[in-house]
Amino acid sequence: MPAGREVATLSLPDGEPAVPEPVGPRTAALAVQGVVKRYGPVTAVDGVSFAVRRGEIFGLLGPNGAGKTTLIRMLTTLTRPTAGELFVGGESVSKNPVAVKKLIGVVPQVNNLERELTGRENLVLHALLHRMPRGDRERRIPELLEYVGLAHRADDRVQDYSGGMARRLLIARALMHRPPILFLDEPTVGLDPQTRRKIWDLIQVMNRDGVTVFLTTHYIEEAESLCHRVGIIDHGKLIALGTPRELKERLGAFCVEFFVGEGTRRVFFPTRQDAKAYASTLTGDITIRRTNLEDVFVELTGREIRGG
Amino acid sequence: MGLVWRRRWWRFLVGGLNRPLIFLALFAWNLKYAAGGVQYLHFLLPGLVVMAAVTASYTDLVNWFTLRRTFYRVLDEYLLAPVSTASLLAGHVLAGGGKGLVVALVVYFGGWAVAGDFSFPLLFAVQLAVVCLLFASLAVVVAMIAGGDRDVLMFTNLVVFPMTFFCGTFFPVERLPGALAKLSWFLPLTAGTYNLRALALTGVGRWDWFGQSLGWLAGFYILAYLLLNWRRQD
Repeated sequence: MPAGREVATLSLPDGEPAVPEPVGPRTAALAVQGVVKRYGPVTAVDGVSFAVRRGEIFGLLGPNGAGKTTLIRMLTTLTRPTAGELFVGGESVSKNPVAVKKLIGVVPQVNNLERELTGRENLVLHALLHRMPRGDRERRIPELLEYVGLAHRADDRVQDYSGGMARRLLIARALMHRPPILFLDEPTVGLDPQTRRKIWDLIQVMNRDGVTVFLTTHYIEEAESLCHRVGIIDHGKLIALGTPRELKERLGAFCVEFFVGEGTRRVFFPTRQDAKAYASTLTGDITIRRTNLEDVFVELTGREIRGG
Repeated sequence: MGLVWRRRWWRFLVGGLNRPLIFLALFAWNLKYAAGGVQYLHFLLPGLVVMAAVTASYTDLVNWFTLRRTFYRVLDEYLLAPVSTASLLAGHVLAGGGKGLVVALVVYFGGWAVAGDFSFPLLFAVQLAVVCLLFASLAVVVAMIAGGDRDVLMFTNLVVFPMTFFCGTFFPVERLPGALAKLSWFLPLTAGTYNLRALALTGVGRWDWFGQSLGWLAGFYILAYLLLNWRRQD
């Protein structure tokens, strides 16, 4: 799907795509229209357009420095775009930032919890900043701590939390005021595989509970296994958009990978049979596997996603 | 900020009292005995109160803002809350100034207990609060401009720290050489120090000095608002 077309397709990961539904800036969970962000001579985001449907898990995939965090900061009112319009929950981010702030929860890439406070106190602080009534706050905090599996450490100081625990508390904090839209900036970066999977489970549970999720990642597996749709961003430009299945099928669902003199070559085929037929003409070490989003990124940019 | 303050109030209080108490011990006690200096002790105490007010209002808030903005990124949590720049600024300045006021009053009443015979009219409390809020506003200004904690340290060492000495705190500004004496009256602290001293020693202050402090407060507060707004929209 080309960037900028106001049509979103919702499908479960690798499931059948649903019927495309029109998504306008006022009806979409998020809409980004021709957004540019420049820092002096550097263009961090370069004319990006897309829309995210309500109830979707949308992933923005790209290497470090691609413009993912800048885009999330613009969507969450923290950075003003140089040009273009952003809408969150139908509200213009530039014209009505306070309304936008009420609709969103944000899990930043870095741990920005108050380290000297306990997990519970961090949630109280967030509730106070969002002017939640005391009764609601007192009901919501134990509920959320249970939800993210931190009830037993609620009264420990955050400085004593592990990275995974801090990340779960950041998620709980972002959900405290019941936002319908949640932004997660690299939610599992720096976490061990087990904790990473726990965070993925949590994101899926939240989405099942009705929260629209917008996440940035440079982990292929995260984008493939979690996201209904993925946008691929590189050098500030959105270079592909669609369901993981669509993006891979555009290339060919199966990949034949083999080594030749100048390095590893990959050739893509729509079916396994086609891939097998091609492989039978080759000699040496040959791998036939399913195409992944890394292949999509490499084909589009000529380099690997982790290479930056 | 109140939640964090509750957790670390004693560290803040000890840190804020440290310097004024050392000066009190060092200068006042020695001069008292060396030069029959009870009068100097009376002169000095309002100066130490001002020093405590400036240090406690400014230092903690400037570090709070700078580190939370540039290093811990905690400020983002405040900026993401649906609160206006005006309330964000008011909350921080009131909290910073409030903490400064507590420390300054502890120094004042501590000194009173030692030296005795001071006044505490309402205007003294108001003037002191204005000084505290003024320097809390300056803290926000500096934190919004500074690129990091080193910039803050440089500004504090070059501007704020000398100001606590040369604005009539330890000796009358008239004793400064020539133009420096006049220049001192164009600094934000001198009028406040003189008014606090007059109020503490005679119970009567001067409205022009109070007005001058209030003007500085208004100026720094507006500047802090503009800079915080600029940072929010950066």
